[in-house]
Amino acid sequence: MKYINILIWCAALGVASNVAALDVFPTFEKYQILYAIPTNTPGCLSDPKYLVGTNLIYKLNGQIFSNPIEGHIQTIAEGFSGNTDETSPWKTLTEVLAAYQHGSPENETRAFYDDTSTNFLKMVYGNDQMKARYQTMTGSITGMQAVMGFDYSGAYLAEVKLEYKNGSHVVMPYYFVLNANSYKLCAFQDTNTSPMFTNIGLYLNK
Amino acid sequence: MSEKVLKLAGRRPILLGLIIMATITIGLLFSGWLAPTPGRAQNGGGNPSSANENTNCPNYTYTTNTTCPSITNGMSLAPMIFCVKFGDPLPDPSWASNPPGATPGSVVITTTETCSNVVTSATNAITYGFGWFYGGPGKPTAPTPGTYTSPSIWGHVVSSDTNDCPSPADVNLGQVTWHVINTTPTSSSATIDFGPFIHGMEAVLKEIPAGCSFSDPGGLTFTKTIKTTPICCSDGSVAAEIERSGSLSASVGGSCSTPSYPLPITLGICQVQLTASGTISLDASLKSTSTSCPNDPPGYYCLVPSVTFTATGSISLSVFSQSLFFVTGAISGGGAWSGSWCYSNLDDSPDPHSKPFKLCYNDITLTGSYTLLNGLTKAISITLVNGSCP
Repeated sequence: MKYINILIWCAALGVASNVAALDVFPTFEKYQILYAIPTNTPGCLSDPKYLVGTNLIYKLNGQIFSNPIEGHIQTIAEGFSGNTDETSPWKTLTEVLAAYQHGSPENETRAFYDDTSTNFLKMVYGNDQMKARYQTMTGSITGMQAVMGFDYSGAYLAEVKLEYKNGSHVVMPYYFVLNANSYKLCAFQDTNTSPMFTNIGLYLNK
Repeated sequence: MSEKVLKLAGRRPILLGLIIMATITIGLLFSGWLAPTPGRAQNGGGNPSSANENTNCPNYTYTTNTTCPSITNGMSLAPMIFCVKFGDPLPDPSWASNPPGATPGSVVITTTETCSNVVTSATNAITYGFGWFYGGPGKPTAPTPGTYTSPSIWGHVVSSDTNDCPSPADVNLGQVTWHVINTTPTSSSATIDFGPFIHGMEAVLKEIPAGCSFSDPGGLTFTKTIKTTPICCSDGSVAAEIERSGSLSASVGGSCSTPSYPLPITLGICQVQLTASGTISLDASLKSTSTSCPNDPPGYYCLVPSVTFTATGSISLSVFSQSLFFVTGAISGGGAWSGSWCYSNLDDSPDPHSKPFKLCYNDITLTGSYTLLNGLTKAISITLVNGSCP
């Protein structure tokens, strides 16, 4: 299945300039993952419960993209039509990237957030300074790549590599909640102080 | 001495009068002035017999039986040592708890009229009076503080009938000592440096971020005032009352900041500015009074200050991140010093009851949250300094 997707993606890239747009999304699947993080990862937080030798072993239910092509998020320039059925986090993420590239207009942004995120959106769009900052920050993102995703705190956490105009990149978690077969982005307030979340991010960003 | 005798006699004027009257009466009887005349006696007889007529009648003979008082409890005075505040009069001792006493004495004069053989008797009581007096040159005066000793004190016994029972000889009762003291207190002071507490706080704060600069709030000293006042002890000896006092209530602090503290978050090592400050609250008071009187155990006193340490602080982004919206957080933690300084009441030297001071503190933590570009907010709880209690 993964290889079929890759082939479709390559084909889409090849004919992008002359052929009608074709929405392409990373495959969404879940399986058991034993994710090992070396304890010498810079900034790694102590998590004795999961320490095995010199690694922290976290047992996850999700997926890992083994190469950049598998997790690539289609851009508008690459032919994304602008809308999806949001039946996978990756489809919704494709909408998010499109919105970023549109300058993060409020209506478009609100469309992919869940209802619990109103406070965050109010904070962003309720203040011109914050809005400008938000739009500047999102507007500097040129591309996304899904790195991995897993079930987390009753929802789904996607680790996404953001590529910036200045050539830098960072892997940032996106939290998706499933509402009526639709994955919505959530401005989740994670009060869980378990080190796993941070350690996975630190390892992906090292 | 004569003054004392008159003084004693003066206390019993009736007795003295009786003695004088008895003496005059006896003298008159012996001289015949008051003797009944034979004619009068015969005239009063009613039916005199010529055979009974005796021109020598009436005739009287006298016998005297004297019992002198016997001293049952000797003389002693108390107290013989006084402690007197300068300016107060020098007190005198008084009879000890068992004052001197004597059994009553008497003089019984029996008169017999030999003609009629009529016997009459009269009894005169004899008592001893007790007194004492300072020998020459008398009780001293005390113009200045110092120790003064009296001349010998003489106990004196005065008989109410010195003819029949002469007064016993004077008795030496010893000498009195007066300690005259100046009760003006003298003061001195000693300081206790609270610097070690401040440096203890500094050491803890310096553990937070590397390169933290600490602004030392400076020294803080507790001044112990020692007031020494000469006092009189219950046994008449002179000692000192030592009152130590002092108080200190203060709040001092130092701050520490680092422009670039590596905060691990999910995006990597985020450089944040961390500002921490520590505050010491000091509360120490001392109030101790002791004396050096023989009956008071020397003992010790302690200064037990209340010293608490509170760490606070804040966090802010120092390096703009294109994926991090903002960071908020606060630093909290603290602890307290426990221990005491104890000193001897005798000479203010360190006393072994002192307990060494130690600082126990909880974890100093940074708690807060950061919000990513997509609105995901993550709680932060980082232990900046592990708690310690040696």
